[in-house]
Amino acid sequence: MSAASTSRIEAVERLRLRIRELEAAPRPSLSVVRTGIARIDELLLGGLPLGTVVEFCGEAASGRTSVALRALAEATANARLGAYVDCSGELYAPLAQSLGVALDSLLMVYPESPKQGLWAALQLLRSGTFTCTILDLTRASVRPSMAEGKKLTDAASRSGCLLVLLTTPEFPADGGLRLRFSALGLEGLSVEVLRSRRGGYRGATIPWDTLYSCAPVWRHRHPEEVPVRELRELVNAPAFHRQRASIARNGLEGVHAQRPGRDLAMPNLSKPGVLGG
Amino acid sequence: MRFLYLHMPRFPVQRRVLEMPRLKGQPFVLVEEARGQRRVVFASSSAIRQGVTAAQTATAASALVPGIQHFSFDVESDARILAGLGEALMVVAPAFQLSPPDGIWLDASAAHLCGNEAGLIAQVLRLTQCQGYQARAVIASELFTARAVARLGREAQQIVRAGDAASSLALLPLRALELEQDDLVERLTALGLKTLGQVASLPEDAIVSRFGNAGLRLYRRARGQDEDLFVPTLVESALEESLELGFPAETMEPVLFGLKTVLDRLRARLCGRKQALVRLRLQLRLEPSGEETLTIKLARPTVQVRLVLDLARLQLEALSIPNPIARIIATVEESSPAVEQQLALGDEPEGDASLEIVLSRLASSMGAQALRSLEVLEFYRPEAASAAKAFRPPRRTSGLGTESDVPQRRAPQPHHRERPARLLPKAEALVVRFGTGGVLADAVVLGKRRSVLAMTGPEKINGTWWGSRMSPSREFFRVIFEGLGPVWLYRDLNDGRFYLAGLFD
Repeated sequence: MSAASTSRIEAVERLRLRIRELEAAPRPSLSVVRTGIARIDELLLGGLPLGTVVEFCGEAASGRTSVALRALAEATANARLGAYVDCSGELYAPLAQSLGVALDSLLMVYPESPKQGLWAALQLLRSGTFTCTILDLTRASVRPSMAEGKKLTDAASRSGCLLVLLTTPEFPADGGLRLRFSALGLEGLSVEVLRSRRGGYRGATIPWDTLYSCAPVWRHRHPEEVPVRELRELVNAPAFHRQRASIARNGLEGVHAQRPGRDLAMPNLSKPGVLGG
Repeated sequence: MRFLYLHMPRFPVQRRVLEMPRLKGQPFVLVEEARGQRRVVFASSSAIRQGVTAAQTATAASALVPGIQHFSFDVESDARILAGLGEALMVVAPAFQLSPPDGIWLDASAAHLCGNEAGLIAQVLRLTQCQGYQARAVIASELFTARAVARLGREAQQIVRAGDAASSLALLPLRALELEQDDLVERLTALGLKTLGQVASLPEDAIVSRFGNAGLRLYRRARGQDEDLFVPTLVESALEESLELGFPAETMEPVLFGLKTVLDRLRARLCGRKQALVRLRLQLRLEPSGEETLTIKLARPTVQVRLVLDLARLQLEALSIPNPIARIIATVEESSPAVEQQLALGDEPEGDASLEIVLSRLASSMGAQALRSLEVLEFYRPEAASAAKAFRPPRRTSGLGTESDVPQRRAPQPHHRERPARLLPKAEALVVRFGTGGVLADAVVLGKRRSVLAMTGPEKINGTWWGSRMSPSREFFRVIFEGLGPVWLYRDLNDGRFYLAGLFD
């Protein structure tokens, strides 16, 4: 075969390959949604896993919303839809856009109550069309019940979507994975990863400048004027609800499944007067 | 010019059966009031087999077939549906002309887009069958030739070449002229003529002398010389379809069935116009009185009937209707050009349907105003720097999309990176204390007195010079308080107080 025909064949093959690439530009597949903050992604072993419910629990101004928005930005950057169920009505769009969230791919849902917000999040998860949904319960004064938590977890698992719950330590939820955010004053923020199933604890400290890419010029108070005390306040948040696997599988068994009266303690027959004596 | 004539035998009967499937196989007639008598215009196949014929009185038909059902022959309604079908066929033809009560002429000049004229016939019959009608189609160079051969020819599909009109018409009976002057046809029959070929073989001057200009016109048609012009039917700009339910419906099933029939017709008309549905208004007329109106708004334009039907069902389930539903009227309020897209690998066509259903479910329960999308505005006041608008997800594009298909997103402003994640709906006034030198020392923030660890700013905004004295004039600071992350405060220069505006959460 002559050199000219060989080069022509190669050129045609290259064109064919290029046409195939152009015709099928598939969306990249996702198994985790990265936050974009290397330390947090390391703690999560890559990123927030799809098909789960993750809880970002922390006080106000602890950085949880910014980290959640970064996860949303990653999802929308991969041609996915995202949703934000805003029970507090406080999300500020300019910051979301500057973190990379594509606002035209973000559905904002404004429920009238936290209960309605939970229902809306469940519907969004079940539809399977919103890869990353954030449910803002920071202003809710109720803790989602176990049944609600289970429904959310099942829906996330079946649809392969991610739900991020923003909660406070006073009213946490029961996701399979909890990230505990705490502000450490000038140092930055502390992120601790707690898993309910496999157990384990990992933590890291993230400087503020990593979370907020702009580097402001801080004017610090004179050290003598700042009261020296432990800045991190550990609030005793209730732990995860734990239930035996057999009860989850079979329900209550034995006497506990029967008349509630059987659960009452038996009277002490040795005490005088119990039997009218 | 070439014309395709689409003939749907007994179209009004076919239409009735489509709207009321229970009539399939049953004897029924369509009657009209003429000279004080109710006469049969069309009859179903079952009634015809039992001896019912057109022009019979309704009484005679009832006597022949006990239990036969009578319906009014609604000329206008049939013409409207025929026009809708013609509009749907504009996918393959640039124009159509109605031939009521059971036919449509189509301009066949776009046959080359379907391969050839045989391809055009196949496409037209396929589209007609999708609508549920049985039809015959013929292409010829004359309007009369195409119609006569389609109505009375031996074959259901035929192409009459230019110049072959006379030979195609030769064997057709004189009934082919039935739609024209009836008395002429009777006089020709009385002369012993049976076919158009026999009429065409007569000398022309004899026809003219005996029958005048009308006879000349019939004679020329029999020879394949038709002088009628093709006059395209004007398409109505409003897209509306209605359906009268056979009996007022108290349950969902007959309403949904009727709604599907209406939506199928609307879909065909939208496809004919190369449009997709964006907003649909459904009016349900109740019996004896009352009306309910639903609006179905779609996030993405679509022509999928099933999706719209699911959305309508969701809304109907949420309604409580006091009376039975007698009539359904569907009007397309907003449509947009339907751009067909090639699916990319990994795309899930049913994803769009799931999206519409979940949006409709949320809108039904929470109200349409609870579902929004955000956009950033360039405005100096932070609380007015974003606005809510309707949620319209971007269309997915394949790699072959042009630049105009890529959603144009505005680049974020650099100063937006310095904004908090949360902006309080109403700024909270703070009780502050100052240290030496007038520096902010501490404040009561979120219910607790906290010391200031660090702060940066100010970032100042001023009201417009033509504004009132109370137009906003503020100095914004980012402050790290003890036990908190950075927060966004501002000092209102009008009243001198500090306010908590947002949280860097």
